Amino acid sequence: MRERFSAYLRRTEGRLALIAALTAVSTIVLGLVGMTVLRDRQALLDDAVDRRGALTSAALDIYRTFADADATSLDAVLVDQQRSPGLQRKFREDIFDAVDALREAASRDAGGSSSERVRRLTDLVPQYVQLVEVGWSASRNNHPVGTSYLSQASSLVRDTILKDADELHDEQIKALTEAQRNASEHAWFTYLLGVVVLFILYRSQRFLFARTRRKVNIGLLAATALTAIAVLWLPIALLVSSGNAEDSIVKREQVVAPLAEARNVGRSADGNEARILIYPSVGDIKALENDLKKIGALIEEARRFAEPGPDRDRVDQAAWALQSWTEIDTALIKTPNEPLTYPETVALVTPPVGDEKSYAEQVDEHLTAAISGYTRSSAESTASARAALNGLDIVFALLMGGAAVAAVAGLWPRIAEYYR
Amino acid sequence: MRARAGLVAAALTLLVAGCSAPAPAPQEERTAPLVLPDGYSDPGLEATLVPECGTPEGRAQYNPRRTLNPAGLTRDAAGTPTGPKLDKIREDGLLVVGVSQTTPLLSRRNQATGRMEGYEIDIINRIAAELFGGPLPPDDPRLRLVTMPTGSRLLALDTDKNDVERQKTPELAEVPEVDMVVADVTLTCNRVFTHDVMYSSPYLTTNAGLLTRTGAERRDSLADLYGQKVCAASATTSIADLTAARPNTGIVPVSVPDSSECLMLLQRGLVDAVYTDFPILQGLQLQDPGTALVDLRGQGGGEAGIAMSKDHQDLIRFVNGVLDEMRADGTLVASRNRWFVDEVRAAGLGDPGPPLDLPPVSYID
Repeated sequence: MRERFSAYLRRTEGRLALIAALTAVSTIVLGLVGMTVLRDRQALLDDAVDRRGALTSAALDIYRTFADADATSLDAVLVDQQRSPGLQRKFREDIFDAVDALREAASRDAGGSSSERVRRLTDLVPQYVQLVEVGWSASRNNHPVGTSYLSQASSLVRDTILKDADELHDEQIKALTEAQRNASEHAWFTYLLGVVVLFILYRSQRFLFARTRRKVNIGLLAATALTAIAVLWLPIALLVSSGNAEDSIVKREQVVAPLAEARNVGRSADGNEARILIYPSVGDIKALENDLKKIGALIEEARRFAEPGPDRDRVDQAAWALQSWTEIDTALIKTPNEPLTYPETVALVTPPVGDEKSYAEQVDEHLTAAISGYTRSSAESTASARAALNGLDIVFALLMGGAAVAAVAGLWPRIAEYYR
Repeated sequence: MRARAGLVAAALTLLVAGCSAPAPAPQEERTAPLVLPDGYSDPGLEATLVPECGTPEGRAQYNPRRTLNPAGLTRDAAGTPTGPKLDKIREDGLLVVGVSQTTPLLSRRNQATGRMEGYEIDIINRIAAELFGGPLPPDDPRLRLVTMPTGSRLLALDTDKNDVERQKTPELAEVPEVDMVVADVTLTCNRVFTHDVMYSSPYLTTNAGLLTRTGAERRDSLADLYGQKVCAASATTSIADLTAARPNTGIVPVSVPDSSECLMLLQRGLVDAVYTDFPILQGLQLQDPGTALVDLRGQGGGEAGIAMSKDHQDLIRFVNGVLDEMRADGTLVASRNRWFVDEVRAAGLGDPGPPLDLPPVSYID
């Protein structure tokens, strides 16, 4: 049996049958490999668009809401009793949003690398809120122990909650960037396999020419053309996708990241101002001064890379508001030997009466608008990166399936000739 | 037939087994995180002892009760006290005093009015009145009360040793410079040595007290608190007392940077008692009627004085003169009784008993 099969393979019809099988199998394997690679890439980008993107913005929200809650919790005891409930409401809304963001992060990353961090943050929320609320009611009764509660709440936020939230955000940004870069990396193995398949098709053509003196086999030619299209299309699509992904990464890392950090530092500076009045400790004024400088530097950094447009205008507006903020705070920072009176300082560090926004709030508002704008456009670039690969898995599989059929169909008449 | 029935039974059993929910994974045992204030220390943190204050010569040299006689003050033709520092303050029209804003009865900011009030504020107002030639209306710009950052109160005074310290630590530049600190500063050799300060004659004598939560259990002394946590401010004489009492009483001393935080820990059930100067505890009890206060006569405590730079000798003599006058005309005792007796009674906390008398004053010249 084995001998008969070996003898068959030594004959031309046997060789032709073998070639038909080899070309069919190799094109199908290439089709399967290409499809799997593309599906993986699509899944990575889907994950980047949906889950990672949502986690990153949840992490950003967690930081911002807690930092804002910190500043508000302190302002609420500095303003008069008519204005206090408004700030208390703002604090409670901040906590509500923070818990929402924590829940979002927990559901998007159940059991993931960040879940432990999210759980740790969630664990602290009830105690934090309790410290602030007790601090408020003690302060309302004119009891200085309220200050101790608020001071402890504030250091809980600054030393634990905000640090964890910051690390959570960093983790998500890193994971998102990595997912995007991996998704648009070149598929070298698939390319190599494509070249091998093209070589097999070329050798088959040569063999057929040597044995049958027929110059061109249409089927093999079609198979070669289909394979070439697939093998060329793949790197082009990946290049387009990687361009978009890179665009998204650059926007996020060079514009959104410094702006988000500037906004976070802004909230911390707002809290520092109030702390100087409520429970001053050495280093607060220096910290405030450094914070203001740092916000300026971060906004400047983002401006270097931000393209002109409405979002860029918001960044400029934030820079102007920051300048005014720094100017009025000079009275607080530069004159330790002629300190402001208590009412003067209260007027300086708490939000103005009515609808008017303090400079600190204006900086925050403009930065928030710019961050949302750039985040949206970064997400759009990620979506374009995904769109470049849309349906390509199916097309790739169909092209290679077609190549297999064409190769077999082209060889079949030549094999059949031997059996007439 | 029987075999078929067996098969059906087996199939049903399998079906039921397949349908029943899998046993839930056992829930992870978790405990609520413990949130403690910054600087909380268990065991309590004591002050590092200055070696000079351990020797009899050092204690004599840096004796905190050494202060200057107001009789040595120079006066101009009109009888107004003069001197470089006093003239400077009058010329600038500004007296800057470092105070605490969280010690009710002694000195605290009334959150409703934004103004400061207390026994120490009465003394400061009198000093300002004597200095500027008449009582000052509230919020007069000539008197500026500055809240001192914790842990750096005495660094705010203009002395050579403080200057060296300020140059070493740049962030201290933000500690405002003040003419005097009136913030229940207990007279200690350590402080005189470290900051080059000189105290006025004492304006307050205290002994220790014990603040606990009210309840059926007897908690009248440290001995009643075996195995329980007792809180005091870090690096104070109170925490030193507690550490010394530990072997005999079995208490667990813990410390936080500010005694007001001890009240928070007591309210939150994280400590069982607060031990510090009795007048401070009176201020804490005012904020929480659910506490009981025991006056530990003869235990702990000390004397509080106004801290000034030892280089401002005219100011020290002037302040001692004002305190002498207040003693002589009865205003010091009246103010003390107003805050530590009347206020406490008005709050419905019972009769606190008479405050300790001030010690006799002696000057070095």
